[in-house]
Amino acid sequence: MPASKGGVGTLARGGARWEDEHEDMSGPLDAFRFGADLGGAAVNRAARLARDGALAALDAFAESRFAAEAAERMLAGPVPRALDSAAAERLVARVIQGPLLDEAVSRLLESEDLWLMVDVIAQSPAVTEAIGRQSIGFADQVAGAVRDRSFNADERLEFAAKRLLRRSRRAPPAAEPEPAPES
Amino acid sequence: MIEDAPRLAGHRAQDVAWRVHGAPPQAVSGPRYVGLVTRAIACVIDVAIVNAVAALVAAAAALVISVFPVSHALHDALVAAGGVLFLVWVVGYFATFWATTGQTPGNRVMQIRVTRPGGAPLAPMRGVLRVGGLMLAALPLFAGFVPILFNNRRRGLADWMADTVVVRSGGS
Repeated sequence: MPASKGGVGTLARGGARWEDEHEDMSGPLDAFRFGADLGGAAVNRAARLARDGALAALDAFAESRFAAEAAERMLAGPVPRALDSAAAERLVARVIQGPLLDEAVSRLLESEDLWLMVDVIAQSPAVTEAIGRQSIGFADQVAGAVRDRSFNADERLEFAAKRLLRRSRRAPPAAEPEPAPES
Repeated sequence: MIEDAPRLAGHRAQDVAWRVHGAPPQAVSGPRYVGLVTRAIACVIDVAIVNAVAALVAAAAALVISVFPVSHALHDALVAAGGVLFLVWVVGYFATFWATTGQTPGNRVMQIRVTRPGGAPLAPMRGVLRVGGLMLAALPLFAGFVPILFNNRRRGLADWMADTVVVRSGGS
């Protein structure tokens, strides 16, 4: 195994380095120190190897078909049921009503980074473009409504004017007043 | 024919509608001439823009001039110059827009366009002439606009003078 070979090599190198650094030391105490350092290095190396192995196993499990199917079954069955349950509702209500959320929100609002982020988002081209588009859309809508009404008003006004003209043409001439009887 | 019955019934209904309303509506395929109300609204928008710009410029000029001592005679001359500049601004505003795009901003909002009867754009001098026609039409209590109500192409005094028509430019 390359790992174990590496481990032995590391220990050997560690021992050689210790010997180089402590050439002037000798006696049982120094030998004890050397043994303790060597043991510590071995334990560290073993812990690192164990951690790498566990992570590799976890990666393999996450990529396995078994994990995908298990997650799918969890999402199809118990997780939604648990989320729909009264206990989950009570839990969420307690979190919302409790001081934890208030504290989190107040700390978030006090954070300068949040307002910096809000400023950056508000000034972003996407947001300004969207606001502009919405304003133009509203103005277009208003102008369209005014246009439609004014075109209708054109027709009505002309109709009324033409009718008035026709009526005045058709009206008979006023009857002449009868001469007053001579007295 | 039995197949033609719905079409004939439709034509008859249209005839009745025309008789009731006095005159047949304008053909949709040709140019759609614009009436008095729409033109008045467009004119109001343009006048608002013209006056707003003129007021801003006049205020700025008055502010600058107030720093310097101005005699009474010079003050009168400046007022006269301001009047002339305002007239130039008004004529230039309308004539430039009509000669270039055929639409002032007010026309653009109302989706109408000023063109020659064939649809060609106006020459600049014709635009100036039309502005003069508008002023003349407004002088006798706006009587120069009344013919718009009575002729088929909806032309007023200014349109006659400059030989122009006002048509719809949008899809509506």
